[in-house]
Amino acid sequence: MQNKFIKILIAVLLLPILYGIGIYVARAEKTTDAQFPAKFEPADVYCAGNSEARTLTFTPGQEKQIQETLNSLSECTTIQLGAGRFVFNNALTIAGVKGITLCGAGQKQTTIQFVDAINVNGIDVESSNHFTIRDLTVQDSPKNAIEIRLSENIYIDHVTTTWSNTSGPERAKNGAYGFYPVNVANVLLENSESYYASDAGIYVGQCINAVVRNNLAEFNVMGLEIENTVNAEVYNNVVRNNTGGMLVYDLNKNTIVTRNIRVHDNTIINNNNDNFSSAGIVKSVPAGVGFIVTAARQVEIFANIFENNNTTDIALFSGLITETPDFGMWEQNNFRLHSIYVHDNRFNGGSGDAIDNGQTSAKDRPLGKLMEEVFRIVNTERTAAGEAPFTVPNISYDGVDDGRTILAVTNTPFGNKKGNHNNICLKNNGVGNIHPAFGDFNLPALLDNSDEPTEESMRAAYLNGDFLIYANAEADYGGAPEAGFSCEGFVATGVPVDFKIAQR
Amino acid sequence: MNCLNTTGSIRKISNINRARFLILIAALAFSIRCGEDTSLPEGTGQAVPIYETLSQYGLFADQTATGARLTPARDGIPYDLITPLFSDYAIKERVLFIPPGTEAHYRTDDAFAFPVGTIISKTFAFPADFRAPDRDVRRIETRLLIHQPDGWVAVPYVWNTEQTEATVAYGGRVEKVAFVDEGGERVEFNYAVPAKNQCGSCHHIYTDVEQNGRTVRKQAIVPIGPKARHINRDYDYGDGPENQLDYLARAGKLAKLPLFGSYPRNVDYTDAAASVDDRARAYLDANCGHCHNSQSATGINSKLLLDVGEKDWSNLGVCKTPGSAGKGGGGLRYDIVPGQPENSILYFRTASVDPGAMMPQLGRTLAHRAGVELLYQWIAEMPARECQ
Repeated sequence: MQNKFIKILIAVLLLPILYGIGIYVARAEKTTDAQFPAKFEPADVYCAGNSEARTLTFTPGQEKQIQETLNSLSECTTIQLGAGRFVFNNALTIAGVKGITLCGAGQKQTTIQFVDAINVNGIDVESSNHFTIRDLTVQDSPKNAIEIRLSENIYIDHVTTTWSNTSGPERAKNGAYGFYPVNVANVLLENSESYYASDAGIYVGQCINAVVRNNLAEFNVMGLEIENTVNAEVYNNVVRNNTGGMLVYDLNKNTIVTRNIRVHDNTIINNNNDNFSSAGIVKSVPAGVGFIVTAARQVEIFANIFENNNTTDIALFSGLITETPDFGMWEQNNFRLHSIYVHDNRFNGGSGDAIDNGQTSAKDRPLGKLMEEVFRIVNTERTAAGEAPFTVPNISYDGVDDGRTILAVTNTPFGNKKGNHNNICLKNNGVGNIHPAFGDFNLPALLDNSDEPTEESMRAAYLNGDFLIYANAEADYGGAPEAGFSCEGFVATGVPVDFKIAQR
Repeated sequence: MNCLNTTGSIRKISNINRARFLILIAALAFSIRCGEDTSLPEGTGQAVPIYETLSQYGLFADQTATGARLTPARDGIPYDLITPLFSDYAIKERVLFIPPGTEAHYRTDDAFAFPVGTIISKTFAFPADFRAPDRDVRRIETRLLIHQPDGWVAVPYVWNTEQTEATVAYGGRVEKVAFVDEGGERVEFNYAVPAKNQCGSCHHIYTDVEQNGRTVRKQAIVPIGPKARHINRDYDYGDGPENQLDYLARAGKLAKLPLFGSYPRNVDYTDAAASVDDRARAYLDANCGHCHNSQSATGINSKLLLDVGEKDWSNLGVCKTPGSAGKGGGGLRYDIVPGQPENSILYFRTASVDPGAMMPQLGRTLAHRAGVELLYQWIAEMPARECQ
């Protein structure tokens, strides 16, 4: 009898613990088991010493022969295009063959142009390890200029992607992305240029180990985008005159969860172009945003120059900024943004000069409209109280953290607890003209747990002290979590593969 | 269903003729998936040489003969699909060439396992006027899917103007095509013959394989059409209509069929007697399911699964936000909003002819009126609800 009682007692005690463990495990952030080749081997390294390796040269006019060749390739073939303009009406496809090099006589000398082409990418590479593309320009591809899927050891060097529609609404007809390696392990993208893409000029997505350096992204909707990628080093790039400069972003539910991203020594200036995208998530990006980090983790941003991005230099957002706030989805997705380390950057001003170029749209780019509205309401209150108005800070943070705890399962799943629970770390950013300001917008309070904010909800958030701007952020952001920005326990280790390449 | 459960019931019905009972058990084992015989058929073991011209294969009796259909030579067996893939209204002739002395093995859900040496041909043609589809037929291309010892390869052949020969076109081709449609309207467009490498963008599955101690995703080319549910229909082989699967079995070209029970069958998407749901699912299965399934990159990345076996409405797109539709999303938020086809990305993309948005991405330039109308009706008739 007593025995039975003890069993019941143990069961009663054990059940909540098991329940708690179950919830904890269910809510633990998903991670990705990164698997990749230990060495970076572009085509020339892979093919060195291969007696079957061959080089085939082509001149303009031989487009048909080029297509026949690409569709019957053998391993370690180099396709050498001479100077001039090669015109195609179908994609250049490479599939299931290793060690291919596609090269021209130089970015300004050799152009692959698409005219009357069907619904295809320009250069389309699938399941082809050790692929190298260099020294040419790809122009007017119907879809992405260069797309590389499901491959390893990809090298892109001295390549330009561009489109002929360079102004007005015609630009919306341009292909979506310039460079588009997706599901690639070990990719090096350098010395390249991307112009006029109607989505992102340079995109690296769902990749393991990516180095993106010494590139220029200009006149695109989004300049340079790293999405759902593990281990990336993005440096010495110039990102200017796009709608938005750079983006580190996680698509929800994707199997690769972003982590370990280092972004440094980039110049991110004048990203105020009008948004000419016809659709997609980038259509909602307001002009004037230098760098957006959304639903990502372990991102280190340092030694960059931010200047004249007239909405805000850096925006730190949870996944709720692009997704409908479906509260039930919080745990199933890596919506949370956390472990962001911003240090030693130079800020030269411009943030808040003109939100979305002064042409905000609640329908197309609600984020810009929200910022405009909240500052209007807040500054009305501040003026009435005899205080100086706020301008949009250099670093804008939505302040969304995980509002649930194990015990309080019925609370809203996201919130803004007191303290720096997302581990936002700011250090030594006062090296420029100005010391960056930091704003914690507290999106949950602005929205007051609904889809749309109202004038009342935004005013109440401000008056309750939930909307905060810090002129000298490093000193006084209240967190740690209780004291200052937390730089504890955060490591971005860089890419674990050596991407040094032989000089040529 | 657990295969082992059947053993327990043997004692209870011991008075039944034991031999008959064993057959019943065998049939059960065959008719349930876990009991499927997955053995691979014996093939020729020989690689098929890839020829410059179609006639070199000797697949057709008189290739220079004009007429609606090519007559298969050797022991080629023509077949049709119940609900086919839409390819800009092209008329398609499909023929199976299974090497003499070999046979394919039946599969319940996947394409049949064909012996090495098998060639599947598909010829795409347009009549001058669809109101008289057997007259003035112009053949554009013949695609061969060849089962080599190390896997399937796909090769496109483009017909000459004289319609006497088709020549290999590894790089694909764009051909101007004009016809008068069933409504009497003239249609002109650029028909795209896919390049060899592009065949894999539809004809593929991904498998994860272990390689050097890590998991690597590999792509393999596979046939799409010859699945039980697509070809489980009648065809007139000269003695009146006969089920194509039965005919293949009778001809000694298809083995390991289930002893009892039935083969799976998709409905004809034009069959007014079938439910709209069944018709739409059959249409999606044939037109989207070859990519949008859990073994293909598109399905894996988009999480939009449109093969006929999919049971989860969210995976089918209902109130599901796209992974990254990009320009294809048309500014819409959900793949399917029940009751609201015009607010559904799935409808938008299948109806679109904009290169950046249209689905499927390859193989069509025109919109398929009947298919698009069916999908519209399917979504419109779903019990309306708001997505949140």
